[in-house]
Amino acid sequence: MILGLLSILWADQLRVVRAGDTVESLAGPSADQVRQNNGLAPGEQPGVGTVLRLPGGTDSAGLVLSLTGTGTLGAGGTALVLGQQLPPGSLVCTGADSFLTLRLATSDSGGTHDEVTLLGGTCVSLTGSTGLGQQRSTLLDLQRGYLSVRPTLRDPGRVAVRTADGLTVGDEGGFRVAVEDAGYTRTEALYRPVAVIGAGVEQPLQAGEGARVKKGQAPTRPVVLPTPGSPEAPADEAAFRRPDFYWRPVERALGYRVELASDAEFQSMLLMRDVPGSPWLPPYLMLPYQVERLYWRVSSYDRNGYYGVPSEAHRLNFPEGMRP
Amino acid sequence: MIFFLSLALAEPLPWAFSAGVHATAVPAEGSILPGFGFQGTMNWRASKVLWPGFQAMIDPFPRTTFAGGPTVRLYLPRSPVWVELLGGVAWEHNIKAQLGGGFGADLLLTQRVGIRVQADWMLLGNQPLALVSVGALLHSAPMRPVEAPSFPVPTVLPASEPPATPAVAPPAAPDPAPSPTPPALPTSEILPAGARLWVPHPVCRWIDASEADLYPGATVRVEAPGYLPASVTLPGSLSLSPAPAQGTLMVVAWPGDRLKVGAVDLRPSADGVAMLSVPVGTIEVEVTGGGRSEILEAAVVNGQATWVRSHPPVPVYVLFELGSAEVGGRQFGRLENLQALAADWHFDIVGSYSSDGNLEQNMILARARAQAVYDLLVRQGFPADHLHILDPLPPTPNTSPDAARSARVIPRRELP
Repeated sequence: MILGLLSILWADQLRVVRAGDTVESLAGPSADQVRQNNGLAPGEQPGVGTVLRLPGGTDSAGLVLSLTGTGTLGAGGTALVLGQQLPPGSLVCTGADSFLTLRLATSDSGGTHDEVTLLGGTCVSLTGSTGLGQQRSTLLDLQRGYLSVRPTLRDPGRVAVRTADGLTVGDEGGFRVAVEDAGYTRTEALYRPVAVIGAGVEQPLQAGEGARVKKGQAPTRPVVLPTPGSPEAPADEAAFRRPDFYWRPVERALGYRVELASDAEFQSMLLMRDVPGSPWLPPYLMLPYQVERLYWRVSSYDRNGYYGVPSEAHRLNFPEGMRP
Repeated sequence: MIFFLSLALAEPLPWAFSAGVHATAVPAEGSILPGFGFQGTMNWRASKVLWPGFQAMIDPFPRTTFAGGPTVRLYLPRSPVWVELLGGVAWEHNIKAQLGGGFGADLLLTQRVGIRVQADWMLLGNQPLALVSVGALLHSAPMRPVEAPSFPVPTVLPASEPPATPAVAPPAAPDPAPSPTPPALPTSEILPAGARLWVPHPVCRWIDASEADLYPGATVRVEAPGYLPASVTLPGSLSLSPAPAQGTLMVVAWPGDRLKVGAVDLRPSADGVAMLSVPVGTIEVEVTGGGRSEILEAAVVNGQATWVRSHPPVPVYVLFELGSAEVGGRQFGRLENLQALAADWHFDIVGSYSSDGNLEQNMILARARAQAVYDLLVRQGFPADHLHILDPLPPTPNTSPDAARSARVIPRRELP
C-alpha cells in the first residue's frame, strides 16, 4: 500500500520538448537519469515535439464535468456519467451531435484545473495528467474529431494535444484542435498563444491565428482567423421564444457556426450548427428546459476551413411557463 | 513541524495536523521505565478512509530519542476512530528501524479544530515501547463532526415515503429542552440515492449524496436523471421531484395564424409563437393562415422543449388578360382558397404592369387590377380592414410577362 501511495506521490510527469529545451534545462541534475529513462544516449538531445518522462510529477485524474448526448469510456464503450472519474490512460469518445467537457488535472480539494470540450464524434485518450496547481501538465492524444481547450483564468497549466500529424501545446488553454479528413490537423489559437509542432519544427501561433500540420511535415505558416459576426437577435437577456438568430455578417466568411450552451463559458454545450449566413431559422430545435439559462454566440469560418474566435455570448431566458 | 506545515501549504490535498504530548512505557530488566515526549503528525486525505502521512517524535526521557517516518491512517467508516501503521527510523545513540501500530480517535470541537487521543505499540530496533498521547488537531478543510459511537442514530426519511413536495428542510433548530443524551448532529438525506451534488467554489466538484455531510454550510445543486434539479444547503434533506413525462412544444408560426393541436384550437401570441405542454411522443400541429395550411410533425421528449417552425405563406398571383383589369373566372378559385386559409392575416395588394407602352396608362391599369382583387375579396366576405392596396412597383428586368400583368396578394409578415 505504501509503495502504491509513493508511486502516486512521485509519478513521472510528461513534458513536451519545445524549441530551445534541452534535457539539462528540463531535468537539471537528473538529466542523465532522464536520458536513460527515455532511451536517449548520453549527451543526446531530444527533438522538438518529443514527449519526455520527467520525475517529480503527481498523477491527477480527470472527470466528466458536463455531458450532452452520449459519451463512452474505453474500447468497450462503457457509457460515461456526470462526475465520473477518469484515470490517466482513459480513452473517451463522444457520440454524434454530443458534447462532453472534461476537467483535467483535478484534485480532491478542487483548486485550479484545465478543461477541454469534445465535440461530437471525437475520441481522445487522457494519456497523462500530472501535477497540481501551477505545475499542471496534461497530454491528450486526439484520435479523431475536434476539441476545444478552455482558456485558464489563473494559474496557467500546460495542455498538449497530440495527433497522428503533430502536436499543439498551450500553456494557458484557449485553443482548438481538429483532426481533418484530408489528413491534416488544424489548430486555431483563439485567446492565447500556442505552439504547433510537426516534423521537429515548432511554429508559434499568436491568439487569432491558425495553422495546419501534416504527418512528417512542418506546420504551415500562420493564417489570421476570421472575425466573428456580431449577434443581434435574440438580444441579450431576451426571453427565448422564437429561435430566429440574426447577426451582423463579416468579410471573408464562407459560413458561420452558431453555438448554444447552458453556461456563459460554453462548457455545457447544447447545440452547434454550421450555417451559410444570417439569419439562421432552424425548422426544428430541441433543448432541455431544465437548464437555468441559455447562451448563444456565433463564429465564422473562411474558405480554408479555419474557424474564428467566437463572438460575445448573448444570454437568453426560457419563457415563464415552459417548465411544467 | 515547520517541515510538515510547509508541505501542507504546498500541497492542495486536504490535510490534518496534530501536535501533542505523550507518555511512554519501556520494559527493561523486569521493570517498566516511564517516559514522556512530544510528537507531531501530518496526514493528507487520499480518500474518505485513507489518510497517509508522516509522523515524528522527540522523547527527552528516559533516553533522548528522535523518531520519524511514514504513517498510514485508516478511519472506520463514518466514525472518528482510526487505526494506523507506523514505519521509519529512530535515533537513540544509534539509528534503528521503527515499526508499530495503534489506534485513536479524533474528537472535533469545531469544523476544523479538535483533540486527538491515541495509543501505539512500537518496536525501536528490538526495544518495545508503549505510548499514550493526547494532542491538538487542526484540519485544513471543514470536517463534519462525527458522532460518538454511543450517540443515537439520526432518523432518516424512508425511501418509500418521500415528502409530498420537494422542500428544502430548514437547518435543525437547537432543542431547548434538556436531553438525557447528547443530541444527534445534523445529517443530510438526499433522495434519490443516486443523485449527484455540485459543490460550488472553491470545491468545484460533483460528489455523491453520501458525501454531503463533508461540506456543511455549502449550498449545492442536486441533479439526478429523471428528476427535476433543486438546491439545498447542507446539512439538509431534499427529495427531488420526478420530472413529469412530458415536454414543451413551441410552435413557431405567425401572429395571424390559427393552430390546431388534436382537438384544441390555439392562436399564437403576438410574436407568432404558441407554447404548450404535451405528453411525450409524436404530435401533429395544423397551422392555417396567410393562404396556406400545413401539418407539422414534432417529437416531444421528456424534459425537452421542442420548437417546430411553420413555413411562411407566400404571395398569391392573380393573373389578368393583356390590358385588362377584370378578374377572370379561372382566378376565382385561387382567391377563394386564399380567403378560406387567410385566418387573421393582413394582406397587401400590389398591381403590376409591364415596361411596354405608356407608363401613366400602365400605372392606372396596375392600380385598377389591385382594386379589382380587393373588391372581389371584400364581396366574398373578406374583412376590408385586412386588405391594403399599395402603389404599383415598376417592373424589373426579371419580371416575367405573366407577373407583369398580375396583382399580387402578399401576406404581411409582421413581428413585434
